[in-house]
Amino acid sequence: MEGETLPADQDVPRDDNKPRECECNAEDGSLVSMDWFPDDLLEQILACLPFADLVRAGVVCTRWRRIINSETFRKKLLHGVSHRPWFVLHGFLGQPACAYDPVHNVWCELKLPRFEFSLYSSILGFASSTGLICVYGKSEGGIGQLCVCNPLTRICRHIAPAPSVESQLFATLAISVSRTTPSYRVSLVTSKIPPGIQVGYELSIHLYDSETRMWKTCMTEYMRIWRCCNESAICDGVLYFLIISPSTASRENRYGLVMYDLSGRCSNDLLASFVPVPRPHGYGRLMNMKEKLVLVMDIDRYNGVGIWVLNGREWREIARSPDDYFPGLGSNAWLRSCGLNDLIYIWSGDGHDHPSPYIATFDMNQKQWSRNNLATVPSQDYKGFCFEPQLDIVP
Amino acid sequence: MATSRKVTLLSSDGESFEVEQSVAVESITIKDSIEEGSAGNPIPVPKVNSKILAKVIEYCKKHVESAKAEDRVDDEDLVAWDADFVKVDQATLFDLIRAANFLNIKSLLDLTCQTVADMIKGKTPEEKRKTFTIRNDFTPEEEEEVRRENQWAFE
Repeated sequence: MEGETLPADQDVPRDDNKPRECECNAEDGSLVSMDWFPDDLLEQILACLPFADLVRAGVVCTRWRRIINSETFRKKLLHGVSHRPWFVLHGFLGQPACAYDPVHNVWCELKLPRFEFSLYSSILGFASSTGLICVYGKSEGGIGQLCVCNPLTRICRHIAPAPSVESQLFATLAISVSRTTPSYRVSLVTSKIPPGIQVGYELSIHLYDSETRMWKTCMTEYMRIWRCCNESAICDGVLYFLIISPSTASRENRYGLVMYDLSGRCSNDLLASFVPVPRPHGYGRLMNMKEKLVLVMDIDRYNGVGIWVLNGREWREIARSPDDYFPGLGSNAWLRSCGLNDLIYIWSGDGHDHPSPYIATFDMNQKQWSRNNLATVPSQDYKGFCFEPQLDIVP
Repeated sequence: MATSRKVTLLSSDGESFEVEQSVAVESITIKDSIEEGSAGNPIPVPKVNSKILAKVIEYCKKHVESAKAEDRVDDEDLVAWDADFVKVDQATLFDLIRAANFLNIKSLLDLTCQTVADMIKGKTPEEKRKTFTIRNDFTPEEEEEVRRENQWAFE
């Protein structure tokens, strides 16, 4: 039986048919080649697999399933991931997202729950944090929809009622997942033109708490010249977001940062907390890097990118991109960035469909820049965000 | 500081291999027994037969030599050499894993485990079972439950 039962993988023919030392025979006499591996060796092999394969591996036999589901294995597996989170690209509605895993240097498909998202006729905001992805969009009829999901386990929760979507609404979404309790908060900052008013915007901050399962409108304020734009982040219980003054002709002070303490303890006069961005003309990207607020923005019209961290009410520059990373681009140049934990991803392009052929990364821990041309962004329509895969977090 | 001290390793099937000490100590197990002085000469290597021990020694020799070379270009050559080294049949590969584990040679263990992981990648569960001759010991109900748990991976 020995010669014929081992199904030949075409590329690795057996070179001898003698029974091998320490191979166990199954009851029917066929050779079983992997069963005699001790658990720790099998663990080591399985830990080399990218996530998608790992989940499929759990179906092979009870032993593999037991190993993959074990606490020690998961800890080992996800240890590297939290320092170097995935970079997720989401294109248009209905298409699967792609996730780049920097630890294994592979792309894999991340199937966001399509059925649920088909309710959305347009997506207004994406946010992600440890384990969870959050989407805010509009369904037919302008009903606001908000969904939080763990894309690995496909568990999805619709959070209703979400603040409704009206025309001329600007919104930015942020999510903060607690590391100590199984809870999370979703913030939604909106600016809309109130009816009957010619000038100015009404800014509102809405907060959802997964423990109370309720939305709360924390504040609503009329602002004559400012509105929110696309960037917000929650760090250490404080919501930060960029505001823009679109009618300001001069480039000075067109953008600024404001902050709102979500615990509601301090008095929250938004404009009193205003901090101008470090480069007056530019539009930056905000991110939560281990509970510090980090801003990535261009320096002097794409002659390089700078990274700042907020200390109190001041920006401290912590890094600048090497000279050849982001050379000066044309007037259609765009810059995008996202980051989580230790890793920041930055990508740019010149014009709508001419992205740069690589994504640059900056490791906050090692203070190291690198370029990766395995990861590319097809065009600026794709939303990229960072995601730390976790199996245990439930929306 | 290259030492030209030689040691003799004795495989489980009685064959002797004379190697430089600097190569032999790529194995932490052997290094420990030399340092403890408990090894004697030749050093017995149970559980590893001559065919596999020869391969392991070949690997260690290559890696010790490459570490001495100062030219960093060798890194790519080494990666290519490693890739060739693991182009062996499945049984030999598994024996190499066992040997690397027993002899505690981390780089060889990482390399061989990654090679097996690469064989697992991209295969359906049924293909995995075929490749590694694994018996599906789920009951039909359990299998259905696991499939449902991992729905997203199977769509």
